[in-house]
Amino acid sequence: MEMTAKKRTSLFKTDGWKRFRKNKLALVGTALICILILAAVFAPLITQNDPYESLKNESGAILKNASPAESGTVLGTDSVGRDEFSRLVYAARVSLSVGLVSVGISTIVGVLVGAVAGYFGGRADMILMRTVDVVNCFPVMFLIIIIATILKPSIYNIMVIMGLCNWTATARLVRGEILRVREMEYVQAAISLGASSGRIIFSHVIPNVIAPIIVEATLQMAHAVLTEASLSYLGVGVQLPTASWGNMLMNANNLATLTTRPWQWVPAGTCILLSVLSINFIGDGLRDAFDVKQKK
Amino acid sequence: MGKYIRKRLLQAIPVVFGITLLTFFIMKLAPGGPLGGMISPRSSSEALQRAQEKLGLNQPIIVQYWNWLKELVQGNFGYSTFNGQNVLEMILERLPATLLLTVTSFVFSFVVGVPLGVYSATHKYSKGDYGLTVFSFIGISIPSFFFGMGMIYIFAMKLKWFPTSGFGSALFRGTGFQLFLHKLRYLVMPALVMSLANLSSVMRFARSSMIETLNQDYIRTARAKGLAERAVIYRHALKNSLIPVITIFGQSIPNLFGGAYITEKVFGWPGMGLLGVDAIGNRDYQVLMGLTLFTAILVLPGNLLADIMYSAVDPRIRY
Repeated sequence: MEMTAKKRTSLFKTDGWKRFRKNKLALVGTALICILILAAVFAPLITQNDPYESLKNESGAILKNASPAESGTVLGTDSVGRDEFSRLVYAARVSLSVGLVSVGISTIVGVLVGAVAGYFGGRADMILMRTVDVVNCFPVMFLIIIIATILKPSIYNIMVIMGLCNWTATARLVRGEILRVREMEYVQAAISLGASSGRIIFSHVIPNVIAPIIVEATLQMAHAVLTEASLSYLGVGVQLPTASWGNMLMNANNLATLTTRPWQWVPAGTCILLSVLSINFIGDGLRDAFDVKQKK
Repeated sequence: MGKYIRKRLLQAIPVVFGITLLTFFIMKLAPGGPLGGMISPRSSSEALQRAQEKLGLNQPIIVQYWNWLKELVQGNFGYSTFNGQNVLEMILERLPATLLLTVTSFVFSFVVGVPLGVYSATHKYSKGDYGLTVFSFIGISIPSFFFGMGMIYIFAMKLKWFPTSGFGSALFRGTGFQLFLHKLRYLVMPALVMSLANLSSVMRFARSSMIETLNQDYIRTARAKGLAERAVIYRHALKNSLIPVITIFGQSIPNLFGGAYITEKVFGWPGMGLLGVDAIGNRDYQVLMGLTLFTAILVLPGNLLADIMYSAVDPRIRY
């Protein structure tokens, strides 16, 4: 009881942070993601060429499919002569921001739905949880693909569609957590003091279930980066000429490129792998640190 | 038990309505709407008019939904906006290839994932456990198309062990066992690629579930009475630790189907995923709708089966 009455200590002095720091994989992941974010933010400073412009040689011919050595760039050029390294760095902006925004949307929707269902129970709970069942029956990829095809794919559409299709896990999680804390004394105390439902949910209940929400959102972020890459690979995600790691691989999906021009697909694929891996490491580290029970 | 099954079946009814309702409203956004694609483009103008009246294109939305649902129940998933073919026939034609691929990957991911997870748990914090943990992280993080392209590069182009894509060569003349082996060579890489993510999550789940079981009191009792470690793990712990693994049985079905688009595109596998990839290119909304609805309805009995199995193996669960 005394613990809850104490003022919050600084994040960096908590036991959770100490546990997180001991997790080597999580630290490696954090470092990698920081590098990627810095690269994305300072993209114009670390690239020499415009990601949309075709490079030309002295005689003015476009350097199509040039290897790193031929073109004098870090990673060579793509099939229309654009600098692969520049595209890779600018794609980090696209891939990471699509992941971030879509997870933001899905977390907000999930928390709201889960909070209402868990707190009010009864008919609202039944209707919302049946809705979750319905959405869960669809293979999410199928659902996203059909909506994206109908609405014409674009970065913003993809962010919203992914956000609106991926909230069910968070909703279930929040509902379960709220059912758990709803009967706790401090919530009962708030009810007896006459606090409104909204106030109880947002200033008493949610802050106490924030740890599993953060863990879930982190793992969802990894998933979202992967989904965006898959959609772009299929041609329903980020559209050319905007570069995303997924559509860079789509461009290289033929046997000639596969065997003779590895610079056109290995770096982009590695970037997806490393960013998703890092975020997964961080999510796992946070789960251990916050001591959240594994649900999946 | 019978009562529970009946209850779950009844619960499935509103879910089916929900699935169709959601699909209906998604199709509302598409040009032509949900009903537009239900009429065969090959019908004469007279037949077209009759069909439009029958479907009630000018009626309120609820009537439209009802008519649309009636058509669905009768097996009319509409006609391809691209080539006018019957969508359900197109899907059924591709279904066996996709089922072969999904079922193979599904079985493989459990048959390999569970023992690896159990090994990790019983050798907790050993080198092997760390290796498997990192492997499983990579497994859930690697984009399947990147993994697939890497596999093609190494095993098909460089080593020439497996064919790059497709499902059997048109030139192959063998029969019986030879034909089986021929087809098997085409199946190996796509099945591996498709199962990797699921295998990794099965493994992680089996590991944590086994560790939890090994901390139970009855395991301590078994050890205290001097039982060999082998008997403790295989006779007492294993069965109980597998119970929660069944829950991801149900969850992994939609995920596997969702992977079909990617895997089938990478390997040119002639299944539903490839049908969908072509439909994206052709903006063939009716085929995409058919695929989405069809897989959603296919997932439902899978989930039901997982729930029933779960309650059958765990007598502590009462309904």
